[in-house]
Parts: sequence; structure tokens; C-alpha cells
Amino acid sequence: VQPVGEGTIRKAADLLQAKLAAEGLFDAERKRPVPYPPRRVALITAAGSAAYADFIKILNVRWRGVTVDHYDVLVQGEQAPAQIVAAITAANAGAEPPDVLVVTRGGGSAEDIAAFSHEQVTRAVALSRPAELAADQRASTPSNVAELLTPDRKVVLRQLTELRQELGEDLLAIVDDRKIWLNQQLTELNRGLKVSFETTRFRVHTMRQLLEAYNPTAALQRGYALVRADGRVIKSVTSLQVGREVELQLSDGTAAATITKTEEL
Amino acid sequence: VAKKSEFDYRRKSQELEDIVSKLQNPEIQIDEATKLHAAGLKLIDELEVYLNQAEIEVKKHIAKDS
Repeated sequence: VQPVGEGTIRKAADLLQAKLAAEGLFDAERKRPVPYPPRRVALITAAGSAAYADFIKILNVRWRGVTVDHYDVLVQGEQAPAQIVAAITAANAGAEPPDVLVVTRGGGSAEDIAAFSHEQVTRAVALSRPAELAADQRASTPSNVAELLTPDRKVVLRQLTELRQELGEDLLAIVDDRKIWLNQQLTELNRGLKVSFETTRFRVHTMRQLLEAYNPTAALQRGYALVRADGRVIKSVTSLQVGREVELQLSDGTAAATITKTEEL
Repeated sequence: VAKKSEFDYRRKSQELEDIVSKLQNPEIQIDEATKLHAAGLKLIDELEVYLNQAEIEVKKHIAKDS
């Protein structure tokens, strides 16, 4: 009995999935991240198909500069699996391997898309050198694949503009901070000089007071007199004898005198 | 690449900080203080001109977008 129909195909695909999973073909460590956006894409689909046109159109609308290597294959029928496997192999063997393999086709019945669940195709995809999309991220349509692979240019441009604005504002905030700092330095600088002047003024004032305190004429004006003998200032009565001639200095002049009596305190 | 003598903001602001801290020393002599004050004012002028130019530049860049 040959099983037919969609249910059977789905069942077979599930069984294959389980088998390959058991072999470790879908293990997380086998998966490689897809560069975003990729530089080079291997597009494996039928030439002239809606899938091909949609993919290319959306890719170009969203992003530019992605190199697409197209591999023309049959996407349904008996020869499809072998052609797809050959295309995957060729893409992987190229001098410039793609960042991502896109194996895609338009929708169809489970029978139509059976080639994509074929064991050899699934194996080839899983063993591919570049990260592949088909097995990792099930995109619903060829356009959807292009959307998943690339960012929207308009969104990116808007983000860049916002970033430029933010950067500028950050920079202005820094400039503002530095201006505040500069103002503080000016205040400190002026205060420093002011303090220095005040300190100096105080020093001069102190010295003046000191000098005045030691100024002998001030004492003479208060009524004190200096006694000199032979030009030397006499500080003790023991230096004087009766009959000694001395010179008295007062605030407004000098006088000569002779000692007539001495008496120690 | 030999650029024409670039304004060294970091060095100049460091110099200014040094001057301010020297000026805050109570032992400083008035002639020295006067000299430092003048040098500090000159640095503040230079730094202010630089900051104003930077501000104008940034504002020009932002204006380009809006």
C-alpha cells in the first residue's frame, strides 16, 4: 500500500525532522548567526518566479549593497531535491561563500513543497557552511525572508538622525558643564587674589604697629629721656658715678648734665 | 599627521587648576599672586573661546538635521 495525500506527507516530514534532530543536525551549536544585514546571499529558487521577484524587490526596497548569487532550480517535482542540493553544494563551494542561503518558493500544497522537506535537502541545508535561514527561521514568504535578512533603510536613517541629535545634545551638556566649571575657576581666582591682598595688607599693618611700638621718639614724647655717656646709652645706674658728665635726649632736643648722686633701687 | 597646533583643553584646564590652587596658599607673596591671577585670567579667556566655538560647531551639526 502506497500512502498518499497531505496528511501522509506531513507525517513523513515530521518523522524525518525527528530523525535528523536525533542525529544532531539541528543542534544549537551547529547554528551560526546570520550577519545583519548580510553582504552576500545565495538565493536558491526558480528563475522568473514570483518568489524570486518578491525577494529581490523587497531586498532592494529595504537595503542596498547586498550581493545576490542566484541559483536557478526547480522547486517542485522529482528533480527538485537533487537540483536544490546541487545548488546548496555549489553555493558553499564558491570562492566567496555567501553569509546566508535562502532556499525559497511561493506557497503551495504540502505536496508542492515536499521537495523542501526532502531528507537530502534538509541535510544539505543543515551541513551548509554559511548560516542558513530556511532551517533556522521559518519565514512565511519570500518577501518575509528579505525582511528578516535586512533592516529597513528608512528606519536606520531615522535612527542615525536621532543618534546625531542625541550626540550633539550630550556634547552640549558637556560644554555647559565645562563653562560652569570655568566660572567657578574665575570666582576662585578672584577670591585668591583678594585674600592675598588682604593678607598682605594685614601683614603690613602688623609691621607698622610693631615698628611704632619700638619707635623711641614715641616714648620720648610721653616724657621719657635717653641718657648717654660717651655716646653710649646708659641702662643701669651702676654705670654712673658722681661727677660723670652725661647727655640727656628729650623729644625736642638734648641737654648736658653732671651726676650729683646715685642710688640703686 | 602633523596637525596645526591643536588646542590642548586638558593641559590648559590643568594649568588653570594649578594656578587656582597655588593662589589659595596663604603663604603666597602678593607679587606672585598678581602674576598668577593674570595668567589664570588669560587661560580662562582661552578656554572660554574654545568652549564657545565648540558649542557653535555642535549647534551647527544639530541644525543640519532639523
